[in-house]
Amino acid sequence: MSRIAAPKAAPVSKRDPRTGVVQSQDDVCPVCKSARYMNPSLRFLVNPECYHKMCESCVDRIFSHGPAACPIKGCGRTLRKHRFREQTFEDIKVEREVDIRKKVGATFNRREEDFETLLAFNDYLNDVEDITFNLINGIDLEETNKKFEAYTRAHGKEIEENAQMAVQERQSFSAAQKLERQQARERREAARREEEEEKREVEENRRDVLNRLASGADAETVAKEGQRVQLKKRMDRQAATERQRQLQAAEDTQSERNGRFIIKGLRTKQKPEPEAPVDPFGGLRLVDSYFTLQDDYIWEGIQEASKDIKQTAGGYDVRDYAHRSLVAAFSGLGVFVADEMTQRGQLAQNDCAVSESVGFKDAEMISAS
Amino acid sequence: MATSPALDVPPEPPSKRRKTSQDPPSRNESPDIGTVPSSLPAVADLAEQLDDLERKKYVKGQKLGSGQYADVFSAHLVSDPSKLVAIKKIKVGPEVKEFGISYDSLREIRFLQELDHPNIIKLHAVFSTKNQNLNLVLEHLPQGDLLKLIQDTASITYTAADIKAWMLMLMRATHFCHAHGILHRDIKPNNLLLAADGSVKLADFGLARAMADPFQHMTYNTITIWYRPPELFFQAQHYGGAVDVWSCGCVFAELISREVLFRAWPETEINMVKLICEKVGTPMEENWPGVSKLRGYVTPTDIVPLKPKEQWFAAFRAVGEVGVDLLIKMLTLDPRERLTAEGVLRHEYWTSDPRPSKLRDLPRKGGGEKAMGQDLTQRGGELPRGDTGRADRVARKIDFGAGR
Amino acid sequence: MTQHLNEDDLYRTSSQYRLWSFSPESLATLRRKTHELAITRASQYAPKSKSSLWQDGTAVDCLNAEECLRLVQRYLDQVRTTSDHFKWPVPVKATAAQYLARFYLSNSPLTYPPKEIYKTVLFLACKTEATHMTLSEYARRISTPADEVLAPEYKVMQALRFTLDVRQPYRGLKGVLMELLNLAEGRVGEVECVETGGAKALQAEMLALEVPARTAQTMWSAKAAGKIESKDVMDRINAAYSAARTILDGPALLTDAYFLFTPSQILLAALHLADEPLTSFYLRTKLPLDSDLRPKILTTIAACAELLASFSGSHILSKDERAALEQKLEGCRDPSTRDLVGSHAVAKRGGDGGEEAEEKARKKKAAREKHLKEGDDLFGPSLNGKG
Repeated sequence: MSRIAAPKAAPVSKRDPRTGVVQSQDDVCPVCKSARYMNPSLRFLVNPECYHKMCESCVDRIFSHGPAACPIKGCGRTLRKHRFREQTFEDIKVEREVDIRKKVGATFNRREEDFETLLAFNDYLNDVEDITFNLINGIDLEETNKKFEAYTRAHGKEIEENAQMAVQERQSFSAAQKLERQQARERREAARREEEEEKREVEENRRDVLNRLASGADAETVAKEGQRVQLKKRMDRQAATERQRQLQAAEDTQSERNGRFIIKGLRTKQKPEPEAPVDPFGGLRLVDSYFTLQDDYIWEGIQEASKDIKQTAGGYDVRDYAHRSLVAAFSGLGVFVADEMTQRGQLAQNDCAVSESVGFKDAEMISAS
Repeated sequence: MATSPALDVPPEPPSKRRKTSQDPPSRNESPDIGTVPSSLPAVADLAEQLDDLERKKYVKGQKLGSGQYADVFSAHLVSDPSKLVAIKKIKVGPEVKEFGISYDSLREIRFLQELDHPNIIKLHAVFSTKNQNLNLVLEHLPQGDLLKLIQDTASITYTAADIKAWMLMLMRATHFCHAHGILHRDIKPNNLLLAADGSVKLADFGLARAMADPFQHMTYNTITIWYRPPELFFQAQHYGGAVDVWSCGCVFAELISREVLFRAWPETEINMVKLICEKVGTPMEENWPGVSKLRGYVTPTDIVPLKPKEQWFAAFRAVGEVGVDLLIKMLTLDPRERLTAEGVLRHEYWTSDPRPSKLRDLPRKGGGEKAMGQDLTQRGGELPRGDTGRADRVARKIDFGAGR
Repeated sequence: MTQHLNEDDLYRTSSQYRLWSFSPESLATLRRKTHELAITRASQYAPKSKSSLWQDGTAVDCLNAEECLRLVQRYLDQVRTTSDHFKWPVPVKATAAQYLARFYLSNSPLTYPPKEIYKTVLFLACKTEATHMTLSEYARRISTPADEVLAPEYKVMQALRFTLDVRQPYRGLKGVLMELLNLAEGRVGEVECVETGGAKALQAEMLALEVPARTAQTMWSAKAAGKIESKDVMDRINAAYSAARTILDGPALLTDAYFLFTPSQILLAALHLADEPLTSFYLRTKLPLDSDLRPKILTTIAACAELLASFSGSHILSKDERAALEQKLEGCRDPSTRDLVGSHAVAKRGGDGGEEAEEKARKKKAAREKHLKEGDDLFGPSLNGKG
């Protein structure tokens, strides 16, 4: 938090446990000149009017009776006691700037959603920054202040609304966090309870089994019985938790509808259009249109190969070979080369730019031209 | 879907046509038609002309990556500088004397020309330079690769929905390849490049191959070792799409835990098999009938039972029970029991919660253009560069005896 | 927004469909254009004023288009026999043949004689179809220096427009075989929208099929006496398959079938030639009677069958005819492509790292010049008064 290095010569400096501010024994109040050496609980306050610091006792002494002038030589601004507060930043300039920004921000509190385009929003931010800059550095103060007041007057209502929204958001956010923490705690509890239950049940079961065995029942049936009981209990419990979960889910949706929305993200999600189911084949289907593959072919070539363990153990698939042969048998049966090639040649002649023309169709074209 | 723009060449405008006049100028002097580029002989054949046209469509930019086998450049269309591409120029190495154009390059070209899918890297065109170098014009994928995203634990976090989105794209790409009868055989996070819109693209078809006929042998020395399925360690010479599904399962696990699942060190096959036993279970006749008949199978000394579902869940909790169920089914030892790519896509994981992330919500910054350049220059089968620092990291060896 | 892709849609995504499928007219046009370009080129390296090739402005002692075509066909056959010689699987053979055929759509034998290209094409096919043989072994067995095999590889890739996948009918034919056998056993492969009457009805129908005509390619013939049983039907099916397979191995590769039809149509056409009643029956179970595609499909298959049937082994050039043509070719082929090994090496040297090498060279040169200049200044102006 300290932007500039520690005080000049601080032979003994400690961190105040309460505020975390580094204090040195040489701290001196400019008004009453009391030093920390004499007064260990010395605390400094500043007033946002002129940012001059003085010790608590001075503030009390000078301003308890009403507004008075600032005691620092050359200042003299009218100060009020209630406006004094502890300095948060070591560098007084930063303190001042932050205060200005807070003030500006309280007024110029529009959000991105209020603007049509990102450009418009950025322009607005730019303007706000200009005002802030002017205020901080004391440039065109009159002008800037006028703008400030004009804006406040014009948009008083929106400012109010936005402020309200901000407050609400903060509240609901912390509420949601609390809720989550609570739910987590509950879940942990439930899990623990379940574990205990289970342990207890197992114990019971064992005791029960032992008792039964002791009373002379058949070991196997007892064991089976015991297992069945245990299983049933487990199923029941699972069913119960499932039911509970469903209820919880129903509750959650209910609470959503009640407006106690659990904010996970501000924008409402639009449900995407249902996507087409995944087609693993990517839209490509290979069909056998001239034959149907049989399970077995009596041709001895196939028979011999399928009996040869050296071939089959290696993964050679004889039926796949049969399929390939049959595809080859009909590959091109319905393709009429003469027609299709002449057709292509004509296309090429009609349209020079067509890239479908291949190979020696060029020769045709050349001789035709 | 009908036509891939690969090799689409706009019709040559009539003015560029070679005049077959009676008195063309002599061979070493370019004719004064004004349209003949001096790089071609005065009367170039059609293929040469088209090749030339193709090359001229692009303006090469800066080099993005340089590897032993290829250089990758950024480039853009002459006609539209905003349309970027990556040009992979395949270097001619010493092996040219032995084989001519390399198998990898041929495979890559062959398969990429036939595959057109949003999650597979697009090969727009191929052209040659006057030095007879192959240039592949590939899709420009400036966001780097998935490995960089996974490894950048400091600055990148992603959710279960993101994992689902990436895996879905990978599985669609794999399914598409298998539907065309092609095995990729090198699926790993650094071959999954990221596009500008966030989608994943399967790249590097240098180890790919068409599925075989019965009785036809394939090599078992394929797929980068950490992502290789157990049947290949047992030297199975007949296998199918299940090998790719295993690799996808490894990627899935890696996405979840952000470390390689089967990270054997040193990367020997023995260590890999040990790790698989440890993390999945020891392959035995009980859980994989017929495994003992595979050539490379060694009867295990310690038997680790198949890891129960709870342990899988404990390790991969983030994708939920449904996700773990899928993972287990992708990393099943017996390849017959393992899900097929189609089976993976039919699993309920994709349609259950959470929904896969939208593309625009996926994390970015996977290394950028430089990473893409690096990835495209890598040879298939190599472990991620800079990872181990060993010279013999190339997992793939060319095996002629067994055929492929 | 579901997109349904059936077998035909899958075919339409292939590079074979997009780049290497033609109507008969466009195929002819393309070939004509290629040939014309080659002739134009010929007039450069064999100028009309000086060369004896020309007479009245037309190239007479040059291979004409027809001869070029037949020479290429001869080498398509050569590719087949060589592949069999190496005992390579059938996809290699089909791919290599297609590579060669595609190569000569945009290049002429006048520029690149097939003799110098086919070995490269075969090696490339062997690589892309996952069959392995090292270059050195291949070169040794085919009695050609390794660098001669490699030199045209680049050009071949370029001519193929860097598309390497060739869709073939063999696996499909097996698929049809599988289904037919199941049908004969009374296990139906029923298709939607097609009225079939059920498994048993179909089986009965198969038993009652009329026998194939004597002109059919299949070796199967009905038993002289006695009822047809399902075992006979199975034999019939297997025989039809074998016959169809032979057609796919021969005429399908040696004609323009792959350019004009799809693999599915080719295999059904082959089956049609093998055993027409069987094929018609099969198609009846596949295509609903009221579909508008049905008549079109049937006519297309018929057209393809006609193409395949019209081919005869005697069309292929004999050894002597080939030799004669190649001698003629010697006199008129483009000399600049004679030394592919050399030009390949030059390209490569200027090539990879070529830009860096250029950079270095330029830097060195600049440095040297600078040094020289400084050298001059260091020792003062030159003595003869200049500078």
